[in-house]
Amino acid sequence: MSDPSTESSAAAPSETAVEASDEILLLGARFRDEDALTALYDRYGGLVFTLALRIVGDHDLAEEVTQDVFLRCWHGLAQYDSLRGTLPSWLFGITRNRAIGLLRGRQDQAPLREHAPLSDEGTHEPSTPDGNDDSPVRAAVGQALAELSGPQREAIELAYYGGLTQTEVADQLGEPPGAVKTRIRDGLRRLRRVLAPMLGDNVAERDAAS
Amino acid sequence: VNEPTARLQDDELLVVSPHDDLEAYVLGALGADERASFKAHLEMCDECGAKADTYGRTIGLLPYGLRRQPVPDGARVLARARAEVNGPPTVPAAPVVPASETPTIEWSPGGPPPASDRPWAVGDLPPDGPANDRHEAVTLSGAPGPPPGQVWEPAPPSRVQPIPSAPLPPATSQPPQRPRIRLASIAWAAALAFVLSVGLIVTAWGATGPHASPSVEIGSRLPGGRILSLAGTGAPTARGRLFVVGEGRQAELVTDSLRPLAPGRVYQLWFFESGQPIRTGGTFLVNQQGDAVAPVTIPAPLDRARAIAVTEEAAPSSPQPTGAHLLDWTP
Repeated sequence: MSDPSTESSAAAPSETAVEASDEILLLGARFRDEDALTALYDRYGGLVFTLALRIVGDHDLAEEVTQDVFLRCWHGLAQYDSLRGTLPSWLFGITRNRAIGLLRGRQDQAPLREHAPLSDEGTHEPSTPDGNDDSPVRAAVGQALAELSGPQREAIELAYYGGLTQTEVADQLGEPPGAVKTRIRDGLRRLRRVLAPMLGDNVAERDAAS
Repeated sequence: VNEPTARLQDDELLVVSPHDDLEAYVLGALGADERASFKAHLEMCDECGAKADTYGRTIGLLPYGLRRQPVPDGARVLARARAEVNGPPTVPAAPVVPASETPTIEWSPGGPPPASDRPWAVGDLPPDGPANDRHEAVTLSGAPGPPPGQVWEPAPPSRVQPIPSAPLPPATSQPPQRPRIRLASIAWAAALAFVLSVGLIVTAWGATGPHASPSVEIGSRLPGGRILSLAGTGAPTARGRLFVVGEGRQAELVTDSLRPLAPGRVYQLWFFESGQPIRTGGTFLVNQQGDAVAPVTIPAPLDRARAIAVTEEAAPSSPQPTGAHLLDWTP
């Protein structure tokens, strides 16, 4: 412990905040606990920024999206329900919607989207943990993506990172809609099966039952 | 509802099962017409409903496949938020409308959360602007909001199981049922309970004297948390409160009106258990008013403690309590 008069530095979250659960930090951020917001950013800022950058393809815009996502936590405008999924997946949802919404609201960014790389070929290896040890998840997702065919992954990435419908994906690729639809369906089915251990769900049993 | 149909799309005749759109629906890759059609199917199809949550969680993992980029400076990104640190708290308010206008929302397990008509879709982006994430219940300006005269209802319970790593005990929720359930009474009761709980916390923060950090304050009031009052047995004007979160994973000691310390002296927290050595929870200093808000360690389950005390000791700490008990708690 330390002198309370020196606590709550704005530069770094307190030890308590660093060790707090996601849910507690989010509650704290909603009630304007600066330490909680800083700890949340330290934990997930990199993931949010990475996703935003992947979608908008521009560093400044991605930073704007990242700021917006964490401001929403601060303002309490977003409601997180742990029963519906993990905090990072919730943040990803907000990030994706804000990033794609930003692109749609800026017609001048259309060329940027078209030129942004939509494939991360060869970049799915797990990164070095930086205090947020998500390397097992990264390794599993990287392995799952590697099991997709190139066309399957391209279609899914265009839909997810590009915000396109499967018809728009077909138009962009010059492929029949039916083929794109099959790629997305088969690709996601494979991802779901491969990632089942990460989802806490017995996919094989559920599929067999249905 | 589960019969295959033929669909003409861009001069291509597709023979499709009604289940086939599930993956694209969850991915947010259906057009408006297809989305509406599949949504109607989903409300009636247990098979798709059972798989949709898993697909949603699968898609939620996709960003982990990206190479992580250098994190922007948090001080700059969070500057706007920090600038508001001195403003009044923004508490999510429950919607208030006359009872006669209270909408009754019907939902099914596959039914919609408030801000989206697709419960699991991650790409819910209507043509006129960004939509909300499937968890969100309130929109930012510019995002689609509720129609005039209608308000958001709290989201219905989900089929998604609590995540194993989530330390908070699950909130009371009702298992999904079919057929549809009218949620209005449940939703309003939940909203009222939320407002009351927030009101209590905000009132506590507004009280004079030091208080625990908001996250700890809230966490201590959730299941698994405790707030213990330490009486000023050896310092009659002083008092202490120990806020414990998550069965002792986090804790803060808040004291007020303890005597300011001389140089080289500290206050120290102690835990007493029957048949066990006395253990310390840490040391702390106080300000000119004798107040402190300090993270402490809970060295053993609180239900085993027979007493908790604060004494004054020589800095940096003492292996055993030597001073008089200034603050005390007993079960």
